Amino acid sequence: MVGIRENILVSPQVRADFFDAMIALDEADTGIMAADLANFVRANNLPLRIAGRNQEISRYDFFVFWHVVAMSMDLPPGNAAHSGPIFLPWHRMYMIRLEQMCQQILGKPDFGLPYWDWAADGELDDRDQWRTDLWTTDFLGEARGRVRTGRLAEMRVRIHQNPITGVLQSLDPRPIERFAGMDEDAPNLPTKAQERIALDQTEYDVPDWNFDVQSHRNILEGWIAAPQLHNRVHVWVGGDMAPGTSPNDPVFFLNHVNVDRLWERWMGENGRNYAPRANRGPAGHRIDSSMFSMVGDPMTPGDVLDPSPWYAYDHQLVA
Amino acid sequence: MPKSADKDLSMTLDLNSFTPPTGYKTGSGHHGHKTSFTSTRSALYHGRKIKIKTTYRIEIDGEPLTLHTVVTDDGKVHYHGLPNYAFASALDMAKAIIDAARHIPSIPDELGGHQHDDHSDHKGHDHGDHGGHN
Repeated sequence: MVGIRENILVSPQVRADFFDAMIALDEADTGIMAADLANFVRANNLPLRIAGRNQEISRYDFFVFWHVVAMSMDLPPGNAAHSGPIFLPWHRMYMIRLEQMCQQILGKPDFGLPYWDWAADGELDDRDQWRTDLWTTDFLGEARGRVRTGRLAEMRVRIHQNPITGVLQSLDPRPIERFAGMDEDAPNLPTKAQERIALDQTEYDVPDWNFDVQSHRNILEGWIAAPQLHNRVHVWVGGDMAPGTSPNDPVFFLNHVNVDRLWERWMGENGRNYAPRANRGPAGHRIDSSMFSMVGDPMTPGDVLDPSPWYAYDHQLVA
Repeated sequence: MPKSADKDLSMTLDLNSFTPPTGYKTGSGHHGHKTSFTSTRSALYHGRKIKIKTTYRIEIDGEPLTLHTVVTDDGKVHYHGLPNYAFASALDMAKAIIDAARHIPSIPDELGGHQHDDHSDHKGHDHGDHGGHN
């Protein structure tokens, strides 16, 4: 049985399940302390420092930590999860693992992470984009300030990356924070026309594989005329979506599932093509490169090109 | 919600093993010890080779930033501390960093994370010969 990924605004059931799973995963009941994360960093000579409270963390915090560790590991032209060909397959693997945990904690093997079709909201007037149903008590709670209403008000941020020092800080637990539409570099969301540019690319990625190239991956990640598409959604939401600890806000997953859905649409139009292939391009970003995992066995981009063993999108079921 | 399933998760949160990704050089990354960063952009134009080296050392209240700062081909500045941003200038970037750090509380360090280790390297960091990270 595979998970079905649906639009969070369309399916009340997937929305309720998503909130249940996020809140359950956020219980600090793992037996893992912040000091254990610090010891892990030191033992493996990872390029991170952790400071602050020695407190028990949640499974959700562990996923936040995994993302930051991957981001801290140089893997030119980018890091182990971003700014290169590995961006889309790494996040696919990461969300497969989160989705599996959600399925288990809910006891629903067909649960799929929902997506937010942000380009649909990008067609609205700027002033209305942060006032849609998504940012109400029935959905994600406040778009601006601390999240104090709705189901996600129950979640707590315990790990946060200081943007000045890069130090990972174990904080006194606090609510999620957002500043949607308040950054002058991203006053509005991506549009359908911008999304179409990413879908119209004929190549997944091309040399020099970095954030200057014209390719499906690089445009979807959002580096051309940046910040666009994926990056723009991070900047537009702001607050906890800004630093390397951005998975602190479940909006992270709504954004990335939508990015993954667009990649899946691109592959539907262009075939399951990935570049660089084996023995080509930068090590760590090739189709047979082992990706960095902290939950479950590592996978390669080739392993996740076809996601049908794990999930399907609603648009794929219509056909 | 079936809380009993909570205890049966087959995928463990694994801190006992560490398998680096292909191509990763142990210890590389943003150590927090570098205080300047050089990007090299290069291009061929009408058969002529262009190379532009840009070095940033950015201080806030006299303290240098120690996370990677790079310049993209279109001249925008990218900073690892705010990984999804691309700034029109380094000044805009520094302002955004200050804004992002404005509400971070001061907390006692029970984890020893503010101590500097003994193999600090305060030299600059070169991002190599292309418009991106290396």
